[in-house]
Amino acid sequence: MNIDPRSHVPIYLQIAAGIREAVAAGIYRPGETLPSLRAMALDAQVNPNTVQKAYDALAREGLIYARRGKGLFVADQGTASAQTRAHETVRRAFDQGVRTGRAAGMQADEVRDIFEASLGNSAETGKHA
Amino acid sequence: MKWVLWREYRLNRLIRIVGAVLMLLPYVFVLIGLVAAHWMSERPAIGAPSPPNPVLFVGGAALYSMALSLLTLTLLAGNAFAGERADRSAEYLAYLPLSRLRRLAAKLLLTLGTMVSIWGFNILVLLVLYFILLATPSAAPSVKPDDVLIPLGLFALSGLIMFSVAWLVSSLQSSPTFAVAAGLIAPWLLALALQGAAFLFDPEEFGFIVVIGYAVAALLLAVACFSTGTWYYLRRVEP
Amino acid sequence: MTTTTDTKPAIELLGLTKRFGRTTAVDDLSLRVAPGSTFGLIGPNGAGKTTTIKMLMGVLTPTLGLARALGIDAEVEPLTLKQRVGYVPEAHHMDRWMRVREVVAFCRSLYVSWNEDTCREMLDRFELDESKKVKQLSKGMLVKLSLVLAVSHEPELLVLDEPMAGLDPLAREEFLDGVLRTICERGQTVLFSTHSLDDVQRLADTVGILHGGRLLVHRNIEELLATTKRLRATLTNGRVPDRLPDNLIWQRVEGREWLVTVGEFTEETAQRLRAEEGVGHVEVIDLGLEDLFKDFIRGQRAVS
Repeated sequence: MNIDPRSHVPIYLQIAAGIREAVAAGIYRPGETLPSLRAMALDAQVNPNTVQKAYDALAREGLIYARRGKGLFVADQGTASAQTRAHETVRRAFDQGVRTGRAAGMQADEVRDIFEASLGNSAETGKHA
Repeated sequence: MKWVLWREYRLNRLIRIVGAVLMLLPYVFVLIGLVAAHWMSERPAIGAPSPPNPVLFVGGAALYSMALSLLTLTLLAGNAFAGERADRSAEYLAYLPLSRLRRLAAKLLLTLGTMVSIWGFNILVLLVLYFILLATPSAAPSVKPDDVLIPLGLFALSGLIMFSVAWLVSSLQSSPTFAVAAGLIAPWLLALALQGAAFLFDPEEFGFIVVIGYAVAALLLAVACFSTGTWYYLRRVEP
Repeated sequence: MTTTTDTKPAIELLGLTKRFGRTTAVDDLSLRVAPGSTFGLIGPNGAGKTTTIKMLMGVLTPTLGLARALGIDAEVEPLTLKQRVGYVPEAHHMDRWMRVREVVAFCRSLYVSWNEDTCREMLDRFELDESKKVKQLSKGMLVKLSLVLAVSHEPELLVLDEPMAGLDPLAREEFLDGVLRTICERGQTVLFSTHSLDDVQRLADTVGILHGGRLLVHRNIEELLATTKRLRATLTNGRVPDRLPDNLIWQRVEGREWLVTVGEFTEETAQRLRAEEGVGHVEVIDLGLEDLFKDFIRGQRAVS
């Protein structure tokens, strides 16, 4: 897990996002355990308290749940909920893009062209969900 | 404590080596002299001087050895506190749970131990010579106890001054060289001062005043310097 | 704003002041660090970080005020404090002629609570050659050795003074890993001073910014990042309004662009600014720790 300490996104949110993406991608499946606090802290090279915060946030979201003495598990609806979140994130990014375009005086067609080009690029790099 | 002592022992390794050399050097010279004299005595044609008295010769070496050991003593004392400051290991030690008292005790033990060994060795030699003289009085008829005791007394008093002044100056600042120099110069300055004072006040009892004055001053100075140096080192907060 | 808990703080500084002649190196510094947390002390060179740490460890006498670690005042019980606090310095002055195993043995003999297994494990992990002399060790290995010595006696508080200064990136990562491991395993309190804001972000829960011996801010990092924002405003008249925003940290005017960094930011702050006469478009910018830090320092410099 790569954390960017320079980003203005708090680290615990970066970790939470990273885990969410991993769940959405199927790296962690419902019913499976997440890495321990210690393992994640060492992997991301951050304070375990920060990882705890990330896990707490994900638990509140319902993505993961804790079982006493057994660790943290991905919730059954985990994958679905993570994907919903992913949709949300993409929608917000598109909204921002459209707003920026409008503010710069672009027409709907111009914005659409840019979107299609961007979609084409990602297809070439072969990124699968 | 064992490790603290070991550290002091290793820290002063060079000085101990110098000390060993200084201790043995007079004996080496005497040995060479005796061998040379023996060689020359076998060749009367060369016109050799009269052979030296081995007892006196070796006895003289013992006294020289003890005189030279005062340099070793001053080196040890001068290096005691200033050395650690100079190489900054004092800064490292400052953060360890090691009391100043323990460190000081180790330094004192090392210095005392070294001096006891050197003086012990030489006094042993003198004792052996003494027993030889008892057995064969003709060997060195002109030797009196004072011939040994007075120099020993002088060395001991001077040693006290040199040690305590070097100890004090070492504790006050961070140059071992300066501390050693101070220790080496101190007895001469004292003697000079006493000579001057004695001359001013009573030129007739000159020698007596200088000697007594030296003894008293040496003891007072030693106590004052040693206790001040010790107190300052124990109380100081900065490394 | 300090993070307060009901339990005794691991570190407590009360009005801590240090003057060297005319210079004030540390000025009325007060703060508390909760046990189990990691506190990052950041500040430019000469801000007083090392001086503060020295007073905490009892190697320097405060002019005023006091410093307590684990409830122990270093002026009163220095040896007890040193038994329970692990320290990693910026510059390493262990005896250069000693071998690694001799340094370890020397330290082991001094500490009551030495854990040989921890020591062994860390020496192996860092791949420190026991037979090497200290003078043969690279800076990275020296720092790692210092960490081993600091951690092996199981301290409740770990104090690190710019530990990663001058380390190559790999050594930094290995050192960081070592520190994180000990935090994970033992959950002790950690205080570290640093220039590197990346390290602060990774390691610290709370952060304190020190400048000119004064503590500018002491806050949980996330809170700090969330409540400190930079506003970019257009000055329609080219003039700054008379009423400046509250909690102003720093500002700069360049032509019609007005940058102002504020603390305790809420939407209201932005709205109030928009409502001001002479202020046009206002944009809210999130700040990373580095920019935040720079703005605090620049703001202080502008004041003094």
